[in-house]
Amino acid sequence: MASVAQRRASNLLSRLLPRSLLSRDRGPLARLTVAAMEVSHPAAPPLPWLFVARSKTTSGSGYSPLNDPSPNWSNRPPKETILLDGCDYEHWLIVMEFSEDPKPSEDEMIGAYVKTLAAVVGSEEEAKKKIYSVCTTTYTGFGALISEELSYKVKGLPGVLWVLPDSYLDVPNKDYGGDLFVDGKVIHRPQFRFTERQQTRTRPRPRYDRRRETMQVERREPMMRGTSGQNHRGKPE
Amino acid sequence: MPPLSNPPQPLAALLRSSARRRDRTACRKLHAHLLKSGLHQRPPFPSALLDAYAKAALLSDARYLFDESSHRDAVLYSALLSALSHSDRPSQALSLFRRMVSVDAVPPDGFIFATLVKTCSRIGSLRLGKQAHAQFLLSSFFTDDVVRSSLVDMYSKCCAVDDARKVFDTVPDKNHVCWTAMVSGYASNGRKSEALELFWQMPRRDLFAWTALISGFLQSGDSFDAVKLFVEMRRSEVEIDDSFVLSTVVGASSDLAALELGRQLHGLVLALGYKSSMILGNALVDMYAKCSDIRSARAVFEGLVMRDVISWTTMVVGEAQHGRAIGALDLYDKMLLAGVKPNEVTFTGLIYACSHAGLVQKGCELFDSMEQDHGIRPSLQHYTCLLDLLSRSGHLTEAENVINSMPYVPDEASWGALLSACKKQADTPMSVRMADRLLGLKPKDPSTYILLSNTYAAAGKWDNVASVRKLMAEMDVKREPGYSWIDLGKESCLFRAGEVPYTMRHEIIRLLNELANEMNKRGYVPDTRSVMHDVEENEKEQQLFMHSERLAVAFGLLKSIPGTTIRVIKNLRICVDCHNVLKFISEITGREIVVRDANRFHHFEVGKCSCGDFW
Repeated sequence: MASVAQRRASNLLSRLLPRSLLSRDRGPLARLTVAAMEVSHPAAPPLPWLFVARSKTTSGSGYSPLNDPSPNWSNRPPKETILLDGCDYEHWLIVMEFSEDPKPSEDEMIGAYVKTLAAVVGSEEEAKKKIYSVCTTTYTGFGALISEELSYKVKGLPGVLWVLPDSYLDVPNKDYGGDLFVDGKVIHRPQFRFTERQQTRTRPRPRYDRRRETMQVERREPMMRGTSGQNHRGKPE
Repeated sequence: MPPLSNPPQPLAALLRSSARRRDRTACRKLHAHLLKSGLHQRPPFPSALLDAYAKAALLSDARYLFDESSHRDAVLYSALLSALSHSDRPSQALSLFRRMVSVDAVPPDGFIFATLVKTCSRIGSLRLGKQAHAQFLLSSFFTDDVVRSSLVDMYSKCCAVDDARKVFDTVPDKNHVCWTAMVSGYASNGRKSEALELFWQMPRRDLFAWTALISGFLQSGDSFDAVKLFVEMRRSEVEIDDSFVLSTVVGASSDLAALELGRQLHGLVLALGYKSSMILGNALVDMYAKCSDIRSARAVFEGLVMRDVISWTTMVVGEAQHGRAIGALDLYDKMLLAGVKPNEVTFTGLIYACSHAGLVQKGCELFDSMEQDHGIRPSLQHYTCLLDLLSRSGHLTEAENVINSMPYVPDEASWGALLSACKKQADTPMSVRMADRLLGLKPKDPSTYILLSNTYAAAGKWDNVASVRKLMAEMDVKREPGYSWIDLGKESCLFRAGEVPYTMRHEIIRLLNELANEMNKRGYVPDTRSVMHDVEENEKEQQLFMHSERLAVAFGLLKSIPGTTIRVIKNLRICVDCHNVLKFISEITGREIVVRDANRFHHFEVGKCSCGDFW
């Protein structure tokens, strides 16, 4: 009976959860604490409901969203490390945040990129050598060839939003994307503007996405997507 | 009929574009115009108008239009059937279909059959799907390839993959949709090799096909291969002009708890220009939260331009699992202010947060509010969280009342929560009562048996103790082995309890010994009660020493960049001794250590844990 109720509840749960929040049935619903641990201090008297009751010892753990028995959440270790092509933990994508009002010019943004990197590599000279790509349209950031250790130092700098391991944007051509940055000069490359019209309106979407049918909210993507562009790297000149 | 003031062509086009834009006002204006010019009964307007209303989500208007229509032909039926099929109650389409056949005696055409089959797919009914299939075969449209494609899809969705294949094989000129439906069918039903075989036979492999394959693999639980396929896809010349495949593969890295892969994908998402996608944003929030980087999860969340209930809920649950109860509750307030309605999962996260922070009153308020304010009926999981909340803070009588009065049969988790609390409060008669109930459920978790055995021992019921130990011994064989793994980007390593990989053996053991010395100086005493085997004390200590999470942390200390956070994932609940040890290690080394175990996340920093020693 309990399993029926459980299944019913977890079915409902799994319909409402995005796929990634679901977990696989691993048997028992919850892990109970080893209650072999004796209470090291005298048991506290039951506290009135108004007080925050804190117990210093562990007790039964009940339900955890982490091990909710719904499909598709494997807790098995990965068989090997998977890396995206081009990802070597020496190429880093550093995304910065700029104010909208006033919005800086391309040169100003690139100046900021150089200054930011200079703060960790020592000089602007050095920074210019290490930056291999820049972008001021699709995203506001640059690619830097630095060690993993240095990349952690960049994360804390002002204006830096993300420091992520970079990988090839154009895999067959082993190209990291963005505009090239050579000797402190920007070499613009042809960009593919991704617009709403070119979206998969004519192409039918893959059918699987049951949650779209039960989500309580607007299913549409925000129209803001229309202004982001896709940097489509052509063959290098 | 009054003379036409406008040629019909542009009007129909205008209707279609209003439909596409889901512009209700425009639809209504055009309807008014059609009425005034007397065109509303002239084809193609009746169906175009109906279609427009349906797409603009004015389904009742569409229905009304249909009922009022003097001439209900196949075209009009098609439009309404299609609209109903896409609505949130697709079964309405089926009743309409029956009416079409029996009342209006309109014979279905190919398009209607396709719609019918798709409706069965959406409902997930194999039984109805087969009936539709039969009708289709008996009709004059039995060679329609579009319907056959839909049948392939329907059988796949209803898990009858071999039937899907049979239909697939009858199609002489398979088009792209048909191929993809079959590949998707195999993939999502776990038939990997067949999916791959067919995939590589396809005349053309576009993003749609790759996505179907990858998401199918993910659905059937093979996240690892899904990611490998994505890497393969990137090597082909396919352009990612749709974000679905990205959200699928981010979901796969959540599944694998692969933070480094998730970060790489995040980079790709930004570089491709999808930073404003809400669906991708939600997937990233979930990925960072599941991979133990709650700060990045929060950063992505704060950066979301648009947020829906999934965004908020994912973040609330993430905060809850990381022990940030105040953060979770605060988010909930903001969520309500933003006008977003919470769902079941939101409340699970919130009550869970409260139960782990001892916020009894708040937790109970939320539990009541769930049904009263938001019309959500509490599930067994919610009750279990509530029981946990009450029993941990000593409200045993209330807890017992809840467990006896709740509308679900209590399971192992529920009784276990109560029992461990009872035991702590040293309420022996109640403990024994609970223990009997729990034993009657034939529990599966080894730690439950320890709980039971200790309970009976404390009550002096030695016969029961013996029988529990006997069951425990039988259980021991099937116990899941403990392992931990650590992901350092370029490499990751798996540690099983007691085993150290040959290459790092000396360094790891030496480091652990050094740390042990330092810990002893600081007052550490091994807690051997966590060891369940009946062995010498010495050996118990040795066993603890070799627990997998310690080995993983040692590896992390040796190999990671100094100063960075060490992240370890363990498949079982972290034991009491390791929890203690890791607190010491975090203090000694000055590093932040995050361990994800079977239940929650533990952030060890300067000698303390985010769970408050309350897991």
